Amino acid sequence: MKLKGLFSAVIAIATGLVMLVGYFVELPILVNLRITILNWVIILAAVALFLGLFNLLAVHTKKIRSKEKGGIYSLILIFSLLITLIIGLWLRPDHALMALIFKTIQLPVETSLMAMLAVTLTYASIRLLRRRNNLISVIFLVTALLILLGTVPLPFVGHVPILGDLIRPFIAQVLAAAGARGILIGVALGSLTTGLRVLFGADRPYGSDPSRGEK
Amino acid sequence: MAELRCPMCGKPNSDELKKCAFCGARLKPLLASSPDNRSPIHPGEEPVEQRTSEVKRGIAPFGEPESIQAGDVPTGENIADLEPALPSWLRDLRDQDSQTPPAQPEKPFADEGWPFPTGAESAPQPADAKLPDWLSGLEAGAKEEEEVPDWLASIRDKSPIQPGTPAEEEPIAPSEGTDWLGRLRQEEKEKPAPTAGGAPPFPPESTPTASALLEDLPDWSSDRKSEPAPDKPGPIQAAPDEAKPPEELPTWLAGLQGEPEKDTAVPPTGPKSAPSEELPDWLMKLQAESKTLTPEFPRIDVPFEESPDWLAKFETKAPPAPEEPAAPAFASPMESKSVEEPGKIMPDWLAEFEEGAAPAEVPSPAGLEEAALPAGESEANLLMETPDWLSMLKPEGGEKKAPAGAAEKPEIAPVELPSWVQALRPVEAVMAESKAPQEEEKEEAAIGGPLAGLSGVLPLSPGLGALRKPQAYSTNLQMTEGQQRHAASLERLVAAESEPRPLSGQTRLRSTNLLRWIIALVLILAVGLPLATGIQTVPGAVYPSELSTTRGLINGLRANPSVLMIFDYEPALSGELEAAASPVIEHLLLKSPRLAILSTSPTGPILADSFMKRITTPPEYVNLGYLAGGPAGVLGFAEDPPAAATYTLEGVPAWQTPTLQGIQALSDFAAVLVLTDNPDTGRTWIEQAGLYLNTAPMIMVISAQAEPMIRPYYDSGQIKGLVTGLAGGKAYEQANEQVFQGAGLTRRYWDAFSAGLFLAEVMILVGGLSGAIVAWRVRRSKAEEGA
Amino acid sequence: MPNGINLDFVTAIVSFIFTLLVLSYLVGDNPLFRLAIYVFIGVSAGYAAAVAWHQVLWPKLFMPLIYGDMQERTLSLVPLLLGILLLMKLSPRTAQLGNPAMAFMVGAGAAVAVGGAVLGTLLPQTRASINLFDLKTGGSVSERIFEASIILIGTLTTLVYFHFSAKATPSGPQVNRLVDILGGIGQVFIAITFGVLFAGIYAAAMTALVERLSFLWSFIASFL
Repeated sequence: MKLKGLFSAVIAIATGLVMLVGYFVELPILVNLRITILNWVIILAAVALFLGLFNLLAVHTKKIRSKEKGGIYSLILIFSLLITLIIGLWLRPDHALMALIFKTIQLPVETSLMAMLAVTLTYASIRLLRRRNNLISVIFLVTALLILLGTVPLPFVGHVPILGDLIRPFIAQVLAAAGARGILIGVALGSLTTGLRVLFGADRPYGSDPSRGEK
Repeated sequence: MAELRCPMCGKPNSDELKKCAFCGARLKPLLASSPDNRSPIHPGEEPVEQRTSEVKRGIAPFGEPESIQAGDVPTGENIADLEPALPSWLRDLRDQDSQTPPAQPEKPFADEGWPFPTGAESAPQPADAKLPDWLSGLEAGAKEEEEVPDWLASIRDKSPIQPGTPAEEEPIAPSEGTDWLGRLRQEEKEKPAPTAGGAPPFPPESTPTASALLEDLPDWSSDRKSEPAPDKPGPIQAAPDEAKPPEELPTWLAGLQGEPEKDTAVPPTGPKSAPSEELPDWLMKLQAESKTLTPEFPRIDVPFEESPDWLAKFETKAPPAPEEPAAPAFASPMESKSVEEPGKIMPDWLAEFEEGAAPAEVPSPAGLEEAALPAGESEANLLMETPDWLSMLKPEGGEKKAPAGAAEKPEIAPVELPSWVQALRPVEAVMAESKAPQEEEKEEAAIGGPLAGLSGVLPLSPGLGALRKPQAYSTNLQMTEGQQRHAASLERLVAAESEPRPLSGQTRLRSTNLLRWIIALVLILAVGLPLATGIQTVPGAVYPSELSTTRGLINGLRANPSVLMIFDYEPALSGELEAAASPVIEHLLLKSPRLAILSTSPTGPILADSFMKRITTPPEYVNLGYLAGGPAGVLGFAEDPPAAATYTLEGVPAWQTPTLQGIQALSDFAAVLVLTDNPDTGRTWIEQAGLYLNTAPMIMVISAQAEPMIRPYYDSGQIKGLVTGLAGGKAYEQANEQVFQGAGLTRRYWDAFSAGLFLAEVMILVGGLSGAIVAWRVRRSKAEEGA
Repeated sequence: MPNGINLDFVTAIVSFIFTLLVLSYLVGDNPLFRLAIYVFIGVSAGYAAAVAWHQVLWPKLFMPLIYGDMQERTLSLVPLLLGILLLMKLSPRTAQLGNPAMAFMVGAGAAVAVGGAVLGTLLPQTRASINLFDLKTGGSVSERIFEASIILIGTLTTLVYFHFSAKATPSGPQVNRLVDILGGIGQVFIAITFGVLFAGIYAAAMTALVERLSFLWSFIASFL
């Protein structure tokens, strides 16, 4: 079992090293190898999508078999999934029927869910200061209001120059940009650390981490 | 080939045989030592194989008791130090036999059992027959272990006592050593024996069977009238060469035969039953009584009145209680016996029985019983204890005599004991000899258990002392008052948890729902009215600074540029992105570009298709479809676009179409336009594809929610153009009003968007203020309450 | 074309119905809303799988394996094997067999992430923070320095805020005083950033609401 874990770690480290070295060394064989590896990753990503699909089917099938509450919805889910998949595999995704299914079901549902978010966010904003009455919450809410006020001119009023020309740009392009840059740098540093841990073999999220008791 | 005479039946057998061919009795003892090996064996040493009758009396060299099987010869025991305790008559007998040569010490307690041979052993015991230890001690220093007193030897040759044989009062031939028997018998006749309620002759564990008792009788009791000293030494080889006519059984012995029906557990012994016509009645009676006893611990409660007086003299004290502290650990019972007070008359082997030795520990009498039995006898006989007559030996009169006798004259000089005998000697005996034979040493007898009654047994653990009964603990839960209170309060808490509580949150739930409904209604009205009425109350959007850069980039594209368009937004924000990207794409279309459409989202291709179909005059474009793999896929496409996206959405090879003619690398595109609603997707394209663009600009049309995280990339120059949300689209559309005729999506949405945002801002402001005031008042009231 | 009209009408009807089903959640959770959501999930998953098959697996894996030359077939065996191993993750008993395939993906992804983070974000953003003080870019010097200073302070204090190390003391973990102050300032910048982020999300949601209501009104208006 230890050998299997070591084998996976070797694969991960070797693949990562080939990819990293390709950033700095311009060798034709290395470039070709990188392209090949990336193409294989693309293929495996599509397989992973099917993996998720099968897992979804298994979960809801189990829910139906165990006759849990809401099993009828799982049945509906599986039915709609299979219908769409069969039609898509048979007709291709660019077929008019697939477009119809997409436009009539997926698009309106997703858009409607996003539309409901406006109501929910408004409600949450109203109750924010009642729940968390501190300086940070006030800064947060005031900033949001100022940005919203500066985004669109007021009805029947029009532009408020100080809002649209001064406050909003300063907040969005200076203050928020500073914070965003710090966040981006921090995220990049975290990605760098995590990636190096994986490449060094210290972290094995692919299921062979001995520290987690995995084989 | 040498011959061995069976101790049970007396028949000759081959020397190589282990068991008698006639009766099955063991011919050779379990442990035999070389007669030349006389080195003492200390505890812990390997026992030396020894000969003949130096078989343990059921006791291992290190004090571990072992059961004596049928035919086994019990071990001998050295009781030389009990010489003072011996009665004078025994000493006299010994003196008579001091001149006789010792018999061949084959087995001290031969298979015939006890010193009283029950088989057809009519031949007198050999002169060199081995003396039992208790008797050999009597002639310590004077004789070798192999010497058998004539009086014992003669007795041993007597025929075994048969059960049922009527007790006959056979007058004992008057002799110097047998007067005591006659006297005992006379005394027994004269006075009634005490009730059987007296001290039990034997402790339960060591009670011998009747047949064992019969076997336990010394040979001289049955044989002294008939033969001289037998060839084989008996267990009690007092006078092996002392022949006694078989018919001259002492009356006391014959009297003991009178009650054969008392003990019937033990079957009659074989050798005894064979030619048993000469068994005294008392032996036969005892043999019959032994049948009734249990196999494990046969007990013979021989009435005291039946025991001869001479035996009664030697009756020891009652066995000690089981609660008495145990004797020193691993001290053999024999050892414990050997260090008894010199005042005690009871020899070791007798005292062991008194102290309730385990059946396996039954000393020589039991062993002799079993040895006397044939192989076919029941198991009951295997665990026979000492005969009653031995147990009834009380150190009363004898005790008085013993010290006196010991103090008067040590008639028997200590003899150099062979190694096997020394091995059997208790440690205390050795120590006593080395220190002071008369040293009084208290020994704690074992209390209970298999070693019950034995002294000198090691305690269970050093220093613990007496064994105690384990303390009985109650199974009920013992709780203090405080614990009971805590338990009761916990029980109340648990009960309270399970109790249904009135729902007090319904009013709060209603108010929450009401507020949500109001907000939804206001927003729907605010958005719906402008849409429904089409009124335009809001002026155009603010012109952001990045808008001009974007317009400049598109204006700077050459004619018929190949532009890569990335449709990486979700259907949820398709309205915003389409509204924001429409003016940009329409502006781009002025250049007649060759468009290549790609998406890292599965729904991107179809969104792109629907978007492109909405354009009045759709341009020439190739839909490269879905690019899987996330950042790795983007990097793969950036390094080699034809390899990463080989086919179009329709399944046609993409890079051979006229639209993508001459395009082999990402840098071959004139511009890259990324439409995304997700800041992470935008960052991925910037990080992975930005290095491969070279001079081609990357323009992003993003959702308002992605602006904060994408703007730093615009500020850093990694993105050349940026259009943000509906407001950016509106502004872009306003900037190109001269070019685009008619109302675009942004125009249609702008008033509703503005109205909705305005009312939302009002609600947020009013609600925030009210929430802040309420929270402040609550905090103030809590502070006042606290104060 | 009647069929096209009918198709559009069917599309509109179904879209209208599903829009109403989802917007009914504003009133409260109800079975109709759940029905719409479960159908949506099934359709989305099925559509994505169909796209993945036709866009990736068939052209990149099975077509070279079936119709390609020897080199293409040989090269296609590796992703085929890795893909089969990856599918072993479905069962807990065979999940370990998928570890090599996962390791391959994780290794490549980690390297890609590292390269992108360093070359695409760290270095350019750091350079940009420095270039803010480049006075040659034009504009008001004071304004530029002021903005650059604020951006620099905001960037640094935001990074300091995410420093969670503390010194172990007998009274408990104790943060450096300077770090605590700078982290507090960074927290303000983060709050502002999140406020702008919230405003953007709200604007996007509002746009979606406008788009949906616009659709609904258009559909209703078509019957008026």
